[in-house]
Amino acid sequence: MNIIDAQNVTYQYPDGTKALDDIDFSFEKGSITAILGQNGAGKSTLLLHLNATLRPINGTVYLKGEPLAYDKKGLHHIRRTVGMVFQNPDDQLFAPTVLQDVAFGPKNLKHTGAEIKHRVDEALRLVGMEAYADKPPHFLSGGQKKRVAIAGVIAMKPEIIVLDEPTAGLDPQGCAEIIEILDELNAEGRTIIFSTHDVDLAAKWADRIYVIHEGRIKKHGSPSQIFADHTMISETGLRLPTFVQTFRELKVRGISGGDSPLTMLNFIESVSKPFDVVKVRCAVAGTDVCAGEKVGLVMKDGMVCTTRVDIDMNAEITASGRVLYNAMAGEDIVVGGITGTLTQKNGNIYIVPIPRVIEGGSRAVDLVTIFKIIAEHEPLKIGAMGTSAKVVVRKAGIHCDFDVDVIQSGILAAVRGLNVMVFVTGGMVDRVIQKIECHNKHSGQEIKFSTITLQPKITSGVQVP
Amino acid sequence: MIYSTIDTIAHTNRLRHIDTRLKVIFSIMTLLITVASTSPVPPILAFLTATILILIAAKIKPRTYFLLLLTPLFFGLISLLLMSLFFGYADSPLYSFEILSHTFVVQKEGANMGLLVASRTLAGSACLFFLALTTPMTELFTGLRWLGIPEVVIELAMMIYRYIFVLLEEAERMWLASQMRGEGSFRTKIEVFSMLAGTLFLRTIHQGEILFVAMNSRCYDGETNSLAYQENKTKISITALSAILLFEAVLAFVTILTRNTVLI
Repeated sequence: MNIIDAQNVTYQYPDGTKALDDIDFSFEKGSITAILGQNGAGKSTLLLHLNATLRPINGTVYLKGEPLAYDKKGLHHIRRTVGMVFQNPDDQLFAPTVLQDVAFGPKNLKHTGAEIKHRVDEALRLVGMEAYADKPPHFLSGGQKKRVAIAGVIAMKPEIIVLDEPTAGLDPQGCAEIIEILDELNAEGRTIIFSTHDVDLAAKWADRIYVIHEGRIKKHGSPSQIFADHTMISETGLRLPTFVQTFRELKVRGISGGDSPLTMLNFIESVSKPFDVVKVRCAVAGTDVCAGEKVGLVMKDGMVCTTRVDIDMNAEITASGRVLYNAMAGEDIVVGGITGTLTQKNGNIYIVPIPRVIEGGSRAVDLVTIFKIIAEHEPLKIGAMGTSAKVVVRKAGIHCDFDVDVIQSGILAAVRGLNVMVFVTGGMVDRVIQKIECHNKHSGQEIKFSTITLQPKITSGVQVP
Repeated sequence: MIYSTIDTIAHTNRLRHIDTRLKVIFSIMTLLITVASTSPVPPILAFLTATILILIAAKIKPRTYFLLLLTPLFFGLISLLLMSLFFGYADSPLYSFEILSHTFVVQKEGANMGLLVASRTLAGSACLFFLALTTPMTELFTGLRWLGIPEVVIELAMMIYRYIFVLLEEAERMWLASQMRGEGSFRTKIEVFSMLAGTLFLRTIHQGEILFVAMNSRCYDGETNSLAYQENKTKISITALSAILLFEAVLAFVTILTRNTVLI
């Protein structure tokens, strides 16, 4: 179902420049859509039509099938449904403190005091800024300001969140954090529409992309459709995502094959075939390695491939190999000359759901059980996804191996034979499972995954004396 | 920048979490009594109390405080000098001296009046510095609202406060950018300054337009209390309030006792 539709939208600035020229677009409910285009292409102008800040001189925008009404009542309805996050957070944060700024929206929606407090707390916790509630915005960093700006919008609980260049001016970590917060909001069913000129971000994150150039929609479709059209990409002043470029270079050299990748994971899949260690035959010398141990293989042509392998016990050669050098603790042992049928073993992914902020967040989790689960499954790589999962990991003092691109990093680690435990915030569990299943289907390798459900923490109020 | 320093101190000093209303009551009442006093004794008492509170209770660096005090000190001394020379009756000279064959006479009444003005200046500034250094603006707004200042004024003040820093940053960036492209003569400096001021003004208007769009995007409908959100409602500690009121009573009493008394 489309939540926003637009037909023949034309917009002209007072000085006569046509910013939008007869364009149609539609955004599906619950999807993530990128508006991609170079500077001055009309991205911001398009976004400002979505919450009726600008009114098209021709054409109509529909919200849930209804044409936008530009009277006072209509605007109120539109703006509580469509939340807008500006590119420069200083434009948006006008209250003297973080708390007052986030409360501004709910207050305008005429909620009661208790409801406002609830919404403000929830929004600040979701973006991880609750500790800064009383600070004035000029004490915050750019990334923190951006998060507060997002909190100010989510406190109004809009169904659609529109962001103008959400990652502009942020450092890589800050950028990843913003994307994760938005991912979490999307997992709750909110529609996300953002403008960007970062092709890598659009490629890996968006469900659909609109390419806009000189006020016209050049093309729209899934990221793979968009980035398959190389001519259009260069005509519109954009470039191909890094992975697509690298893939093309590897492909003409006969190294990669298959479809053009959009993410690191796709990319690794596209190049991993020639290096496949499954069923490698080597000659054995020495007897220092046991089955199931971490070993590395030195392959015939001298290439070293370190991977966790399980030596198939049914093969004519029992598990044995010559240790080439003594590895440091935790590193793989490199052995040479193994024969036998070697089957690569993927690691498992353990998914531990953590309640969402609205369901009590990290406070509903007993840290002792977390330590127990980790101890039961060690050795592990650990990842945390979403705000409350990150808080749990931080509270417990656990070292987190992945905190950005968690699903992808987790799958890549599992492919290397490592066991992975990911703490996943509530609504995002389905997305993790979906991504792993998609990988399994796509690559033919099977990564096993299981969900470990935590017992809800018994609060003292519930206990029977 | 000195403004951000004061702002930072206000957010980090040791009296930060004392109820704003107490601080407002203390500084406003002390200020009023000081202004009403006709003898320099109560202002000196008030000045010492405020200074002790600032330096010892709030643990603000003496250097910062004295740098701030320099301005009122300067004005106080100037008025002391001028008043002692030009006010009073001719029959009560304290001291006289001659510069360029012109005799200057320091009059007793003038000296006393100068002393009163200087002590009031210092005491009044100390009271306000106490408020400024211990209370973040953000909380001062609560205090002002509690005092019954109209909501419109407070909301405007809030936004002005917020955008002072945006504007300061912008001005600093523009100034740096002009500096980096070489220094000119005094004349060019004046020209550059006027250009910067003009551009800054235009940007302010632009920022105002963006602000309006941003507020509208969050359903602003012109109602004035949208920023009046306070989470923590603290209770005024009775002990602290009584202590302050007792101090003010003593100060008022001293004011009445010492009325029209003079030091010289």
